[in-house]
Amino acid sequence: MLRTISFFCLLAFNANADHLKTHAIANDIEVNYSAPQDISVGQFFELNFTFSTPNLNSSIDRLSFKAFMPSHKHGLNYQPQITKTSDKTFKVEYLNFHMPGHWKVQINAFIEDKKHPFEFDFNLL
Amino acid sequence: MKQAILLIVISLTCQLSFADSALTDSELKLLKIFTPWPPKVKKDMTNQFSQNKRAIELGEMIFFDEKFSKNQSQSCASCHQPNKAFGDSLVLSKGLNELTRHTPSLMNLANNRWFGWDGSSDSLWLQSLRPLLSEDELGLTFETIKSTFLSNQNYKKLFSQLKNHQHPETINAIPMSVDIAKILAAYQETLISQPSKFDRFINSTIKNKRISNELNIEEQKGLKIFINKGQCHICHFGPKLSNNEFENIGISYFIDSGVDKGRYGGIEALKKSPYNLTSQFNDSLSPDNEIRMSLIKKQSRNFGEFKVPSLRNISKTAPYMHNGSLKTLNDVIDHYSELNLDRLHTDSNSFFKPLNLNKEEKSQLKAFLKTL
Repeated sequence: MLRTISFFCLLAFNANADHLKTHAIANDIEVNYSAPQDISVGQFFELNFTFSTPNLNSSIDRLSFKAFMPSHKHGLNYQPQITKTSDKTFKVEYLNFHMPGHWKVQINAFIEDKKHPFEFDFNLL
Repeated sequence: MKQAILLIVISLTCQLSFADSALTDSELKLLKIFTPWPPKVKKDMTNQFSQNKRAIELGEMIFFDEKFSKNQSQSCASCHQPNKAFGDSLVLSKGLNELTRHTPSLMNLANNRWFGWDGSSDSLWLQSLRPLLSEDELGLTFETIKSTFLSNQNYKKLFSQLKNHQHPETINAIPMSVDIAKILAAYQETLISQPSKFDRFINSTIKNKRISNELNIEEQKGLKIFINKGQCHICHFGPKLSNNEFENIGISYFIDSGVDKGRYGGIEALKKSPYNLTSQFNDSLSPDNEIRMSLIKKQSRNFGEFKVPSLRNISKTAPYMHNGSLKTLNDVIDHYSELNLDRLHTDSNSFFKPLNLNKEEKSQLKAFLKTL
């Protein structure tokens, strides 16, 4: 049910306009996201999620978002803003990874109160 | 043929220089996180006087002026002394009364996101206003700040020039005091450390692609501990050697009157402050300030968290920690080496573990810290 995609940001110190995309699939729902190629420690950035539901006509009702450092057992110092930008797209703004290391992002896409979880890994050195 | 031999000799020489080093290639790459220094200071758009030359000069005069205190015998510089990296050597700050926290250095504050041990200020000018008004520090009121300022003809003249010939007498005491705090902030933004021995080491190493002898082997081994076994760079990250966030590292937060809530109390105070960046006193029209204020929420782990200080000039800023409880660098290193996990908040960063450094490693780490 839960699929994990690893996304490594290596030595990311300078802002770069390029975006990387990756995706995960759970219960026939596919999610793609775009992120800055270079994510700097302590700097705000945004993630954009696009969901595809080929076998379902429903839109995504809402998105929950959580990011934390598993080895440190702490989360974010700033609560990001989640905006639904269309039936199947969401923008998560003001994300800030305040330490280098492994961050795990967990999102839940809700369709008619059913939760569809996804996980992504970010590694900032 | 001769050229080929020369290339081989050069290549061997380079390899030898790295092989002799106390640092690996990956460690050297990691050093880039500590560059560049000095940093490019951006104008603070929330402060109309930021990077204004006249304001900086006026701010410096006010900073050292003892008339700006209730007893007219203390100034900002009484606690923030230039020869001590704009800190002092007392355990706890002493204004009109003794405070509950140690005086932090004012060096390298420009462009920080938060100010003060608890981050209760979101601008350098709010942080500058606070001690002027604190009964335990300089003990002034908005009215006495204004009257003190107006008693100096030179200040009045300079202020009028800064404010398009507006006469300071015509400005109400509160906005006038905020302007004075902004002028003080404009001066403090200029307090940037000179490149350290460590900066010279990094710059030379990167430029010449070989390990510089700016740091001796003892210091290089200390650097290795800093970024490997110590993992100090996780919090002391970037050119300022601080991620400008807050941590609980097991330093007591009990005070005579109860508990110092640290960052938890800092967020409370900031949100209540009528002079934070969401107020009318912010000179920037950017909506970012409102948004950013909404991003910070009190969390239980914020209790007892204090600002991660910059390690620049660390050899000049003893004693250490928010309450000045660690007298020397040896004490700081011992604290992390024998970290008492029972003293950490249950919600604290579980990354912290005792470093268990031996005597030699402690000495090496200390030698490195002194190069910052």
